Amino acid sequence: MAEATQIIGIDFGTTTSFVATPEAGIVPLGTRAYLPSIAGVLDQRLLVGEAAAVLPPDRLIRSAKRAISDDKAHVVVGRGYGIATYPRDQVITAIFKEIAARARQSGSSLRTARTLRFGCPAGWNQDQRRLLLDLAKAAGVPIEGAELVEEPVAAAMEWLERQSGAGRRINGRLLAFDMGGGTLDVAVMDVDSDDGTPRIKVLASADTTIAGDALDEAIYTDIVAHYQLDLTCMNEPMRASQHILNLAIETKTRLSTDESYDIFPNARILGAEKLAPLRYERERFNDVFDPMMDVAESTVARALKPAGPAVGVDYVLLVGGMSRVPLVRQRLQAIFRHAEFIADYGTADEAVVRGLVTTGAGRRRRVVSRPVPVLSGATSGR
Amino acid sequence: MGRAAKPHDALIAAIREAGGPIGGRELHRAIREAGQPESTWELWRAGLKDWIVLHPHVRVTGTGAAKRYRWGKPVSAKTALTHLAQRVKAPQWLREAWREVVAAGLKATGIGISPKLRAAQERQARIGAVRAVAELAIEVEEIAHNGADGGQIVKRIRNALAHKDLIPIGAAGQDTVFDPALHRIEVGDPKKGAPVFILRPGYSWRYRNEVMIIEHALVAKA
Repeated sequence: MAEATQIIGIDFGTTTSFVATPEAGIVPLGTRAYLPSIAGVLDQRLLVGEAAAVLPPDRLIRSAKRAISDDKAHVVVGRGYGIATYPRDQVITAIFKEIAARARQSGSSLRTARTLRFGCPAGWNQDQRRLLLDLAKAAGVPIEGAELVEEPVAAAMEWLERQSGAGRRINGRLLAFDMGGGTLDVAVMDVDSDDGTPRIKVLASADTTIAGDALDEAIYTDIVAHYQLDLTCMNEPMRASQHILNLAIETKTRLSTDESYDIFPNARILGAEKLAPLRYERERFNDVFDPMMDVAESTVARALKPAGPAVGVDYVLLVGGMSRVPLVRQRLQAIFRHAEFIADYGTADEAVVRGLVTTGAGRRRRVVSRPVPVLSGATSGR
Repeated sequence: MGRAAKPHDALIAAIREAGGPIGGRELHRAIREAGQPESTWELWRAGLKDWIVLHPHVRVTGTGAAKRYRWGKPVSAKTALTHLAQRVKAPQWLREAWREVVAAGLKATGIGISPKLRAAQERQARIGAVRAVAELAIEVEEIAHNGADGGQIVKRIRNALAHKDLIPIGAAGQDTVFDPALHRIEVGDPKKGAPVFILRPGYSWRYRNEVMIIEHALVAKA
């Protein structure tokens, strides 16, 4: 049916990428709902998605999107082992090609869509936005008439449309807190739904790269300290390091919802006879996460500076995988005591792409661009 | 514009043939020029102007005297449903429930979704379910090899299942009272509230606002 391909939303994320249509919702990209936004180099060939994910860590390219945010023309191959670089544009173009090919396999050709809507961070300037479309074009994705929607606006539209469908009219100030693996984006918006059609005006935004990946590193350090590991003395330090990082990532994921998590390291990889499990409790997890939330709070403060005081915020919208962590909500509730908190944890990762294909996201005249200068994060290098 | 047979047809035709956004005054002029009687305009003013937003081709912008009507491609099924839901005279919770049921129905019948996409979604859902089982098996084997005891393994499995909204009904060996909604008895016919103990736990599954029993817990008389 022609209607099914009228509008297609593309969320090229730092960690995962999604495609959606208004009628069908999420379009599967291969055997998953998403494509891992990961690349890797094998025998001088560039691989993307799951094919790259199985490569050794020293050949992986993660968070290529961040290179646009940081205005870097090259990305590092093998974070932490970084000895080689690769042209950013080639990596992102390859990811877009894969997204387009997989969407086509699932019956949603990007070429036949009447309108393509891309998400982008609210903090991106015009050059960065243009670059995203140019890279999509280089991948064969038709960008004539394509629309760019700021990610927090898309996430807010997704929520607002659901509220509107339920007959609830939302008016007031909304703060979107989008914490993913690679970045934290905060945007302050004014929402007006008086005539039944939500309108959004972005007042200010701020971002930082201190997000989920930083928490992985912090848990990693904590595990190394707990077992008093000296990786330099090990036969295969890279293998041991990656094993601990995997344990740290799993710990973070599980403690997003569980109260405790038992870590069982592989003694053989870590060069030990036997290792007792480490019970990671919520309290310990919060202690490790606290410094990152300090940075998050200062990012929120920067976004609020031109927009007004925290007491004026009526709604706090939690988006992104990291928003599942209870400490995020606790810390923000201490700031926004009177605000209504909105979190749909089941689909937190999909909120942006679902929002891109809402009716409101396409009303470009109604989505007013941010009138204040972009506020970049101190840690983002911009 | 030719004269339309019915008043509402004439109004719709005027919007369709305007060639761009059209305001109230221009619309009035257009139907007069089409030879329509003044009663057609009265019909518009009496209520049709408020209902026109439900027309799949008509986009309404602006408010009050600045309202404009424009002909466009048909809205998506989702948007049409949102518009309809807004006009159901019922409490919010009831509207929400109603909208959810209709949306699920539309999705189930595949209206507006290409067969290829529907097949891809079904395939992905099946792979997702199989992958979840495989991931659990991998995890259990890994932690068992790395020294986890039975209790730690059960805890890990329960946590993994909780992520899939599967809630355990009791725990093996636990004393409880018989509840036919949650338990099945191995032998006998106990009354509700009779003391029993759990041989095998069961599981319920929470899906949106619904909780369904996936497996009853197997119990025996205490």
